[in-house]
Amino acid sequence: MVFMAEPVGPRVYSCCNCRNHVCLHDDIISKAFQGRNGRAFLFSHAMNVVVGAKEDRQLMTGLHTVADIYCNDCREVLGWKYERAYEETQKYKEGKFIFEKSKIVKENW
Amino acid sequence: MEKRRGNSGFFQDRHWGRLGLVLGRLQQTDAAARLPSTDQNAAGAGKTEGVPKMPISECCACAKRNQVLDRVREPRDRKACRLVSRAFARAEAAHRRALRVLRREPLARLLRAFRALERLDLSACASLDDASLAAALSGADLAGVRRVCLARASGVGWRGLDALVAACPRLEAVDLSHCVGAGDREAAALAAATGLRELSLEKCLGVTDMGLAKVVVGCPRLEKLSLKWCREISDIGIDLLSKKCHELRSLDISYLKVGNESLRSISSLEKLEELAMVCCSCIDDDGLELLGKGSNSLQSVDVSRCDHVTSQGLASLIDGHNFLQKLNAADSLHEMRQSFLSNLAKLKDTLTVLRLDGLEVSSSVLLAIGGCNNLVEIGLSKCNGVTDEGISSLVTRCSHLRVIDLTCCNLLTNDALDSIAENCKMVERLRLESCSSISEKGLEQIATSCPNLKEIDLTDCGVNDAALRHLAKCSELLVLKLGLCSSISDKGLAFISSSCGKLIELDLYRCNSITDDGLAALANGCKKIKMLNLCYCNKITDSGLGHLGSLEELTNLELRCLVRITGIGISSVAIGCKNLIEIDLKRCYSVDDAGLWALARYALNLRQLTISYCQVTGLGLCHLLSSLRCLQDVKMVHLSWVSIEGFEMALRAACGRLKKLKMLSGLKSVLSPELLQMLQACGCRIRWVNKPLVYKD
Repeated sequence: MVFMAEPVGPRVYSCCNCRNHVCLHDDIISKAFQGRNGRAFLFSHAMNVVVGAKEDRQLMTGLHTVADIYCNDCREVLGWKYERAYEETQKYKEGKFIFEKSKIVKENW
Repeated sequence: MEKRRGNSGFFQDRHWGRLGLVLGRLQQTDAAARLPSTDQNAAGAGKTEGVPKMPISECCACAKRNQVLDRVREPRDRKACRLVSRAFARAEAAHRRALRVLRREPLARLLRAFRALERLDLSACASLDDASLAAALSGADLAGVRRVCLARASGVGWRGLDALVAACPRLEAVDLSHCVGAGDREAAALAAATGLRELSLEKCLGVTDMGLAKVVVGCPRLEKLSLKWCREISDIGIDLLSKKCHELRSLDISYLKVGNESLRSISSLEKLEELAMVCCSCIDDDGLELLGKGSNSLQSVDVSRCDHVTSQGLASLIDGHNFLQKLNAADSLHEMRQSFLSNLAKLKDTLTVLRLDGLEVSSSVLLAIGGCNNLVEIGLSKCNGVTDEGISSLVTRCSHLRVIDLTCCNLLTNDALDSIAENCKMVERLRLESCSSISEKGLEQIATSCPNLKEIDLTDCGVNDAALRHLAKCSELLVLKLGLCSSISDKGLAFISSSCGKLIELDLYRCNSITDDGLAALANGCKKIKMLNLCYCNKITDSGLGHLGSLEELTNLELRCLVRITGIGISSVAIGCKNLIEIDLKRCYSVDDAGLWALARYALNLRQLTISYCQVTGLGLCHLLSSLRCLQDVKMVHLSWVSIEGFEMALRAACGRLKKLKMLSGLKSVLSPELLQMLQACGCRIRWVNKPLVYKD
C-alpha cells in the first residue's frame, strides 16, 4: 500500500471572480473581523495580489494606515493590508491581510 | 456490584413477558455501567454466550418480540431492549440488521453474534487492518450483508477487501472513500464482487485507469459510482466505464482532470440521471454541448466551480434535457446570458434545485428564475446585486421554496424577509449569514408565518434577544447559528430553551455576553443538543460546564479560548456527556493535566481532540493518548510544558490508532525519525504548522 503525504496540498482560497489563488487556510489568524460588506478574515500571508496606495482609515478598532489589495489577474478588490496601526494593542496586525469572506471561495476542499 | 449470571439479579427473565414497546431507557445498574461504553454493540452478544436452550414458551413470544423490535429504531432504545432479559438480548441479536463497530477487538465476536446483518459500518473502527478484518470475517456467516462502509479505514488494503468480497456474496454497496492509500490493487479486489451496484472510491488517490477498468469489467451492474478526487483517472478510463456500465444512474467525476471527451463518452449512458463534475477545470461549454446532445436521462447536474463553463454551455445542456430537476452552477459562472434565462423557462415544471452562488445577478435575472414555480431550493450566496426587490420577484411565484441560501447578500433588509414570510410558508432552511441589515422585525414575520423552520443561520447578522423571542415560536427548529451576535444574552437563550426542545445544533461562536445562566437554561430546555459551539464566550466558568453535563446527547463541543474553565468543568462534561466524540479546548489556558485526566477516564468515545495551548505536561498527554482507545485526530500545537520525551512516549502509546495529527513544525526535526515513520506506516497523516506563540484573550 502506498501512503502519500499531503496528496492534495494545502487548502487554498481563490478570488471569487477569476479563481486566482490568493491565500491559504492555514494562514488564518482570526475569523472575527469585519470587512466593508460583512465578515472578513485576517491572514498572515497573501499571494497573487497587488497592494494599492496607502491611506489612513478610521476603522472600528481605531486609526490605521491600510492599503487595498487587488487580485493581480482581474483587479477585483478583495480586502486590504494593514500597513500601520497606531495603538499598541493593534500592532499585531501590521503586515497582515484582510480578505472579505464574500470575495474568496474555497478552491480545492 | 458484580455482574450476576443467575436467574435472579441482573436478568429478570420473568419480565420478558411484558409486551408493548420499550420506551425510553431503563435505569442502568452498576453492572451495566461496568461494561466498556464503546462495547455497547457487544452488550447483547456477550450475554448470549453460555446460555441454556430457549424454553418453548419463549418461542411463541419471539414473533411478537420481533414485531416490537421492528418499531424500536433509536440505538439507545435498542440497547434498553437488550438489557431487559437474556431472551430479549437474543431476540435483538437475531433481529439486528445494522452494525457499527467502534473497536477492533470485539469485531470477530460481534460478526458471529449478529446473523441477520445487512449493513456493516467499520468506518469508525479504530486501527482496523487487513489481518484483523480477515480474521473476523473468517468465522462469521455474512450471507445477508449487502452494504459495507470502510470510509477512512486507512489500515485496510487489498487483502482485507479480498476477504470481505469472499465472505459477503451478496455485496451490493461498498464505501471506500478517503482511503487515500487505496489503489489499483484494492480496486481489483472489489472487482470480484460481481453484484456490486454502488461503489465509492472518493479520495482513493492511487486508483488509475487500470483499476477502474478492472472494476467496470468485473461489476457490470454498477448503478452508482464516485471517482471524486481520483486524479489519476483520464478520459480513457471514463470511456471504458461508459462502454461497460450501462446501468449507471449516478456518476461523480468531481475534481478529475478529465475533459470534453469524457463527456462525449458519458453522453451515451442512457440511464444516467445524476452527474457531478465539481471543479472539473478541463471541461467547457463544448463538453456541455456534447452532453446536451446525448441520450442520458439527466435529472441532476453539478458543474460548481468549473471555471471554463459559461451560461452558454448550460443553455445548450438544458436544450437537450428538458426534465432537469437539479442544477448546481455555484462559483462557476461570471455572467448570465439571455440564452440561459430563456432556456431556464423550459425547466419551469421540473426544476426544483438551482444554485447560482457567486454570480453577479440583477433583478431581471431573479425575475426570470421566479418563473420556475416548482423551485424547492435556491442558492444565491455571495451573489452581488441581490436586492429586496429581486427577492420579492423571485419568491412571489415560488411558494414551494424550502431552502433559501442568501449568505453574504448584504443589501437585503427586513423587506426581503417579509416577502419570504408572505410567500414561502414551507421554508425549512434559511441562510442569512452576514445579512447585517436585517433585524428582529423581519425575523418576527418569518417566525410567525413559517412554522416549519428547521434551520436558520444568522451568523454575523447582529441579532438581539428580541429576535430570539420571536424565533422561539419555531418549535421545529433543529439548527440555530448565531455566531458573532454579541448582543445575544442569557435572556435570548432562555427564550429559545423554553420552546425549541428539538434543537440539535447551536452555534454561539463569539457570543461573548453569554454566561453560565444561559447554559443552565439550555441544559433544561434543549435536551437533544448534539453540537454546541461556545468558542470565545469567555464569561463561561466551570459552573456553566456543570450544566452541560446533563446534555446526554452531546457529541461535539467547541470551547476555544474559555480561559476560566478548568479541569472541574471538563470533568462534569466528560462524566455526563457519554456520547462525546469531539472536544475543542484550544487556548483554554487554565485546563491542565487534571482536566485531561477526566477526559482520559470518562470520555471513552472521544475521537477528535484539540488541546493546543493547554497547560498539559508530558505525563498528562501520555495518559490521555494511551487511555482513549477511539481517539484518532489530535491537534496539539504549542504544548509548551511537554518535553520531547513526553511527545515521544505519548505518540508511541497511541501509534496504531492515530489518523490525523497537527503539531508545531519545530517538532519535526526533534522527534525520532523511526517514530515518524511508524506513525506514517500506521496510516497517520501529520500536519506541521508554523504558528507563532501568541496568547489571546
